[in-house]
Amino acid sequence: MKTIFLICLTTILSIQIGFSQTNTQKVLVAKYSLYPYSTEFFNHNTDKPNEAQSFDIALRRTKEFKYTFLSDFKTDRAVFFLDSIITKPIKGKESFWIEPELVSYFSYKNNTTYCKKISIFKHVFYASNTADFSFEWDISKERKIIAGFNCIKAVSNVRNNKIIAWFTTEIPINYSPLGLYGLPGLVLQAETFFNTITIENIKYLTTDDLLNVKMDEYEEIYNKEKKDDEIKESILLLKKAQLVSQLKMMR
Amino acid sequence: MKAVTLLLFLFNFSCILFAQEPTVLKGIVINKDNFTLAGANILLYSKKDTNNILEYSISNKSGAFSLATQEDTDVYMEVSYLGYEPKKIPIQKELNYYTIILSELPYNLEEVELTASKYIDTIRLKNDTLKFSKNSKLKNVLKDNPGIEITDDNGLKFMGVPINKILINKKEVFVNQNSLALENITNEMIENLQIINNYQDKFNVGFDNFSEMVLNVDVKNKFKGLVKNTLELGAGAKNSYSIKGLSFLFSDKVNVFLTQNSNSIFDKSNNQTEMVTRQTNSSTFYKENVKSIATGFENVSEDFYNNTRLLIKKENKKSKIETNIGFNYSKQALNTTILIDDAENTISEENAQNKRKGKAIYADFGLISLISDVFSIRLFSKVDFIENDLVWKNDKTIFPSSTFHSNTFYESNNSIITNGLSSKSILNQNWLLENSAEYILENTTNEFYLDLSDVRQNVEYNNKRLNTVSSIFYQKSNLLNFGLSFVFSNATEDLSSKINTNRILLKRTLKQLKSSLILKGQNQKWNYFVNVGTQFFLFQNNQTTRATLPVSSSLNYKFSNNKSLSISFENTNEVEPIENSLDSLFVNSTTLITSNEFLDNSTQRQNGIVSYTISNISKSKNISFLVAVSKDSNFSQNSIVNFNSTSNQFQKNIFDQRKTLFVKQDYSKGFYFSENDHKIQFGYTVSSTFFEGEVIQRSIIKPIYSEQFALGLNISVIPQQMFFTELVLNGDYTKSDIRINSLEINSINTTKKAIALIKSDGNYSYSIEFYSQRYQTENELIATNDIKISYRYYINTNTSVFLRGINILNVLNLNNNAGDLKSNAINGVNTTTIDTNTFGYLIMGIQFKI
Repeated sequence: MKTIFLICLTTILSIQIGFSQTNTQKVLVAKYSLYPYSTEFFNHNTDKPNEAQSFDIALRRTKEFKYTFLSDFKTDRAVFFLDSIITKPIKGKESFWIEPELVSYFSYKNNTTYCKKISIFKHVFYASNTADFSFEWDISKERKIIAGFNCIKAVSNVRNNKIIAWFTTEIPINYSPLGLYGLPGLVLQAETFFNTITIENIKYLTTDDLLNVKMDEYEEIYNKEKKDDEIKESILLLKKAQLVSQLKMMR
Repeated sequence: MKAVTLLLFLFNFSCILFAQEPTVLKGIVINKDNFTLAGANILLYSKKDTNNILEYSISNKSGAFSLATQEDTDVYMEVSYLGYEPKKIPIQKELNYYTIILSELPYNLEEVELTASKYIDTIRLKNDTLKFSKNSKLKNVLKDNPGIEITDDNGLKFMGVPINKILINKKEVFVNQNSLALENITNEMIENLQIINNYQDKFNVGFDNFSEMVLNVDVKNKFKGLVKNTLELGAGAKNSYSIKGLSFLFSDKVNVFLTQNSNSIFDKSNNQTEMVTRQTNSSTFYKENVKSIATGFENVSEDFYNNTRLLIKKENKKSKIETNIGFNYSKQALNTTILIDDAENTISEENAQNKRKGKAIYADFGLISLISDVFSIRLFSKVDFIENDLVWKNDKTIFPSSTFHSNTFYESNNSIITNGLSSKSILNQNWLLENSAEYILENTTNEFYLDLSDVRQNVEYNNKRLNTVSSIFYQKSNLLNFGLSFVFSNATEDLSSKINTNRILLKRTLKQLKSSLILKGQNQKWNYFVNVGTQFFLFQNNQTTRATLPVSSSLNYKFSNNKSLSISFENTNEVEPIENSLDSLFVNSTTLITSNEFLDNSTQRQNGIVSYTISNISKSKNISFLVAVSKDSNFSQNSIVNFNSTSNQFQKNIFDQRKTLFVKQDYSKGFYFSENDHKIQFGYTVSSTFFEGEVIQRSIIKPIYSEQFALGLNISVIPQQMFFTELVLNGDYTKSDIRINSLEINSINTTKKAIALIKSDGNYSYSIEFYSQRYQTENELIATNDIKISYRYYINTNTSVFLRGINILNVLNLNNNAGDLKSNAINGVNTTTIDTNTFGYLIMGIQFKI
């Protein structure tokens, strides 16, 4: 009798646990839009007339990249991936076709593993990292509201790569798009030298099916394709910094 | 004093020491069930300035954190974790280890449902140009984008790549139904217009790297999820009228598109070229009948046309249902003059009054089911019923002095049913297995009667055909996929012909066996396909076997986003249509074709096309080069034998070969010459066609050569803030010559010129076009000068009135235009067809949108 009672109790408990787990399973879904420019990108030549500057901006807005960010904080996994590339002609402008210098394809975090695939001037890099690496964020007092969330400005200058991130403590997750992490909240807008990414909307999923599919897909791609092109994030950042300084000199 | 100084120094020093040694706060973040929370955020704020984060930390894998701070009073920690209620904890001086317990919090974010998909690479097209009104068709909006090419029969290409799918809100709605979308979707519905470079249909199980180019139309929110209706009624001069209706529902799960078009104004805007190609395994009887209903004659004196189409696409997570139902009715009358000469003398002249009417009912049904991510099944069925009636009243003169009057009646009924099943499955990631089977049943009955000679021909045709295909592919890499394909088909055809009392029966049982090796691959730059194999035609009647080597290959290489090269080559064989082996067959008015039996003949066709496209949407520039060569061998062709009172008699013979070379170059460029988007668009097309073949004249085989040269010019000016939005100038010139031996027997020059003014404003839009057409042969000249107008005024957002007309001067009897002229000599005699009708109308009406 005792045994039966115990079995019943265990079954009920396990069902309850199982049920409560499915019930609380939530995956954050954030949609982002990225343009291949930044304020720093245009800063190098401020003596340009306004007209030319607005043309430059129009030129850089011909390519828009749409991304999805999925984060499951319970299992400490997050994935950020490219949804679509939209090439948009700008009416009345000549010669505006551009190819972005840097394209971010995906990045993900699986517990302590941080990986990303990007291309710089069409050369593809597979960058990996561990939690030990720090972006050395400097949190400022500047604030602004993005998509209805209070955001705080943080600046990283790690390996001479300037990154400006606007994060919100209202969504307290610390892995963000473009593989940025270490901030006490989700990054809703970020600028690097090459691009500016901004949140479009935030919602959530009740199941982690999509996250599992995407995690598996990108982990597989990363492990299959990386071969000799894998690089540590810290070294990649150094290379990027060199490139940025060369580009600034050239212009 | 020294002691005081020393004390002060020591005090300051201790203060410095004290200040430099921060307090380290440690702790752990857990939930109520005592589970540790990794990744929780711990923020340290000053109570005085809650906007300023003094320090922050993130809990590690075991939920532990540590935070160093210079301040230990008037500060507090805020600990937050997604899905949990944030907690504020005041820092206590004596406490440096904190156990923080967070409680779960219900979400307040909106829930969403997403499915996994690949990223899509899109090019956004323009649809916002001022010159388009709300009612502008998708076809015209697309044409304004460089790189887009739309042919007369609504074939769509972008950068030289054909597009056969038009998506609505990224869902497949129009598949091989370009016309329906291009002619009925209007500018006001369009939110976003994109080319998707790498579209993959999730129901099409296959290797990941294979994608296709499609057009996507995102419709505006007000057109989503609601049934929208448009009704347009118009009537005008000489009893002309038009009734058009459109009802549609675009939503995520179901898309419905219903069109109705009845008119007497030769408006075939639901042009159904797709209808002609639906039944691929059909006889020439069917193909000609369906074409006659879908497109009909041009330059008619009377026309009535009805087209009703219903398209339903329903998509669930694991299945998709497609239904396409159509009803066509058309009735036409035209007057034609046919002149036949042999370059020296006119042989005959026919003045015919033609009347035809026909109807077609057809339905397609398809069900695709994704049994799993790697296995799909498709069931499909296509049914057609067609009726065609033609009456010719013919006054014929055979020179020098015989004149005859005859009436010819022709009635044709076709039915064809195709049922099929196919499946696709991926095995072990790298193997793809495809199987399909279809069964086709076709029946045709033709009745021909010529009163002059009291000749009656009854033809009955039946075909039962089974096709099966099995293919297996192995993916080595994205660029290297191997495949083996086996095709088996069995066709049994029966043809009975009865001329008066003389009956002939033909029967043919044909088995086809084909095995081929397939190589294909696709990545961002390359897309190629090669199918090489061996094919056997086993003709069971006379126990003959023909072996052929079919090849089908294509290659597309993208040099960059703007430049691409396409090469294709095909070597195919087709069995001679069974009716070509009949002793006698009346095919058209008084044309009688006689032939020998060549039931087991197969025609070989070789086609090669090279095209190179440079297209820069941003620079409004498009350049394309195309070279196409084709060679036919063992083909049947008609040769003139005799003209008599009852018939123009042709003999069908098998010829060795004929060759065609086609060269074309297109260029277009837009220039914006001010900040206000003033624009000039300039373009030209130059093409040449060379043909070399053989004809039989008076039982002698002679070489025939044809050369055609065409030049098209187009200039469009888009000024701003004027009484017109766009001024378009068009000019086309074509010169064609045919020689038999070295004797020129046919020459025709065509010149078309037009100038059009187009204006589109918030409340109204109009276009007015003045045009001139001139056809000239050595003996004939047909010239037309007339006006075409279109005006629409929007009373409110849902109601507009319109005035529309073509060949208005003719309708108003202000000039006496003649129709058009066609001339050819491919059968060894020079045949000139003059349509003496100029079809015109002028109607006004009203359009409602609900």
